[in-house]
Amino acid sequence: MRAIALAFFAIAALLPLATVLGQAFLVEGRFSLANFGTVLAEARQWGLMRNTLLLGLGTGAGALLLGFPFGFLVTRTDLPLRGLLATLAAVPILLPPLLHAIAWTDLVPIRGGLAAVAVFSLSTFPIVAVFAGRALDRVDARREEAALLAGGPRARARLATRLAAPAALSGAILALVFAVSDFAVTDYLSSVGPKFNVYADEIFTRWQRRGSSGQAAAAAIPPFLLAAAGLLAVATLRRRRALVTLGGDFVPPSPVRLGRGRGPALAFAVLVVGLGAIVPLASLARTAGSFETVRLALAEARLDIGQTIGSALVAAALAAALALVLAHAAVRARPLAARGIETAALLPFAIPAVALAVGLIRVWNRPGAIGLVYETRAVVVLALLARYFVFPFHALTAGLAPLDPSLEEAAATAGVRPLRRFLGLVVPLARPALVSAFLLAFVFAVRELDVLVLLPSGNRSLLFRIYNAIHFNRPAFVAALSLVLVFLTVLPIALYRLIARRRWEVGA
Amino acid sequence: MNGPRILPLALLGFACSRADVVLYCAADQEHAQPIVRTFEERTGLSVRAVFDVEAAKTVGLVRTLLEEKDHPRCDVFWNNEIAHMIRLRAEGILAPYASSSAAGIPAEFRHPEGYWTGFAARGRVLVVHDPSVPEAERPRSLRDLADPRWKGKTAIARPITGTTLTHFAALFEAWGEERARAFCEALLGNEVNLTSGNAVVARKVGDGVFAFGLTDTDDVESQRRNGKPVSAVFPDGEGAGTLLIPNTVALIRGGPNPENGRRLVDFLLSPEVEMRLAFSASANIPVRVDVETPPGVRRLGSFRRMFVDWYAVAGRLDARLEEMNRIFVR
Repeated sequence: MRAIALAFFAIAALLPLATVLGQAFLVEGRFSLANFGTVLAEARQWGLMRNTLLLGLGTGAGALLLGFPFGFLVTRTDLPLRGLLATLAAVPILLPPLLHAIAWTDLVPIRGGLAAVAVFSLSTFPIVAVFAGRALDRVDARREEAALLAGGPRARARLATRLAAPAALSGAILALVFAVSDFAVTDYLSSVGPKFNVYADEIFTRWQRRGSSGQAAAAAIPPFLLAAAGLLAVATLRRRRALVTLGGDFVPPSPVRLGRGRGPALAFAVLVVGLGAIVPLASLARTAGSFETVRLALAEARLDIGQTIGSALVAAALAAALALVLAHAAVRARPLAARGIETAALLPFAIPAVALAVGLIRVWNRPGAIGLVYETRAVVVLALLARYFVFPFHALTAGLAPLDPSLEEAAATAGVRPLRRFLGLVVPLARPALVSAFLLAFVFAVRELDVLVLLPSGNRSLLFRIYNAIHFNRPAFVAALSLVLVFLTVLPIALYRLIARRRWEVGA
Repeated sequence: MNGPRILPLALLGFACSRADVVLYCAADQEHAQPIVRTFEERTGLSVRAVFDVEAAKTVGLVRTLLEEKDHPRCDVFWNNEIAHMIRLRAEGILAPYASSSAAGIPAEFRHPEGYWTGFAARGRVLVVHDPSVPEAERPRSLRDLADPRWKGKTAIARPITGTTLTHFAALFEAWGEERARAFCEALLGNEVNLTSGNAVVARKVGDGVFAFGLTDTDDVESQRRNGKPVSAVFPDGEGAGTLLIPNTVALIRGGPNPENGRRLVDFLLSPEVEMRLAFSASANIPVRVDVETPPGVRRLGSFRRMFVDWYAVAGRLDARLEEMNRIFVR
């Protein structure tokens, strides 16, 4: 089963990645560095590099500046309304960054690189907040008390910051990867005036307008290396348990009393959630105008909505199932093999989405039965699976890691076959993580645009329709469809939380 | 009881379902979709319509067709201009088809061997914000975009995709390289605002951000229908004339559903579709003289046209694209 899963993942995700990277070194079917020569010889390459770094590092820094204090306030302090604020803080990451950009440009005439940094920072700060919050919540109370006794509140704050920094940094790196991979936001925010050129847009241009897959692939190498280095750093931090400080005799930390700082702290947290969630949603609702507009938009785009949901459901189910098998393999494997599986899982996410699409086209656009994949929505499913596999994979490795292997070992000793062991023991025990993995994959799949924009079969997606409708001066239609998209991403998460809570209450 | 077994099959069916005819469509989705839906309703055939994104208007689908040359997935290409269609013919992507529906279309809009046929044209016009531009100062020519009076107050789409690329490539043929290149530099010197597409030009002029800009007739009509105080100037009426760019349709060589593809081509080239496009928000100019039009839509013969050698335009399109990238995307 593991071999089948690994083979499937290799074909679905790694083969397109390898294909597109390989294209960079090919000219007319022969090895050559000419593509790099052509791409790098242009003076504008330095501008692309500068802009891409500005976008990535700016987003990482922005997400850190907003997310770290926010995560601290809602998890470790006596901040009023912290539960509500933590819940609302999930909304920005559920909204596609393009919708943030649409909503904000409806309100203020923002454009260019700094606008893109602001949009991505507001969109991705919840990643840092969740990572930092979880790490801060796992600082042992005794260590905090010792720091407090030795150096007062400042020493305690230093300790918490030091222990949570790797987690927060990991979140910031993920924010960076999201930003450097995105082509639609910078394109949208450059609709008037000087173009803020980044590598993701350059890949799109080289492929679509100039018709060169080799040059498109060569342009994908710098952002891929940047993102891959960041993601490998995150993986290393995970392996070293730097992100988790939970011990066997763990004593949970007590809440930090904010005292007179509660007012300003609440104002900061409300401001962050307001800018990241409430303002964009209110802006979209204001532009949509009425429920009638939403109803009409639903009727007009029902095919796009249906195909978006369908593709996301299939991709999420497939990704969760595949991730379960590979995550189980990783947690039970020897360190070197586990590292190999983890690295393989994250690499497809490191390549800019439009470049991954080029790889998918090159792999599946073939005659005969293989071409059926390219011709149908199967290629869309594979694209979404490859792009976001890393998220369900990590959700499941986190869920499976604490499970004691002795149960499986006992079943194996009793002669239970591997498949039955897996279905009878691992699947039931991993069910909560499996549901989380499915939801993560589903939400990211519903809000995807970039990897689908080059695939003819990916043409009928909701965000594609929104992206095109922007140009037809139909702001109410765009806003109404955007609200539908938000509903599609928020609804499953909200339902899951509701059902999980009810189960817990019944169980209690 | 059978749910868990049926569900994967249903999902697999969803992922692998195919259509009766595949249409690649560079015309705007908002205008083309209702036409496609009518075809589906009348014939009972399902159409998989693939549209371009504005960021790669026309060139995106042309790129896809070239990529799919050895194993075509598309039956019919509905292009929103003509130069790329000529290029696709030269690349061997198109199949000849003399549609009976094309009978009333003038020969100048048809390939002599039936490889492509033009219909429902658009004019390349100046969209003017009426409150900002007094009648006496209204622009009359493309060259007004480079007039210092309007420095920083005008807009064009970056001429690297869609009809703006085609238009600039046509200017190089009609005016000669030197004059056209000087015009491009003059535009930049006059701080003309560059946008991602023609619709953005029209929208920003409609909002009064810019005094006027270069765009397509359908984008002006879209602003009008949204109640914006704009009007269209067909430029150079006393000079070289206004460029008219027809939509074009062609059958793809080796497409998977040729018979259904022919039926779709017949439908798209029918007088009915031309009339619907003229009455729609697209406000296309029919290439047939006997097709009814609403009051706001100009007819052939009612304005001076700029004539260009489309074959020469198509032949140098790649080189022009590179040049436009060098000049306008820095």
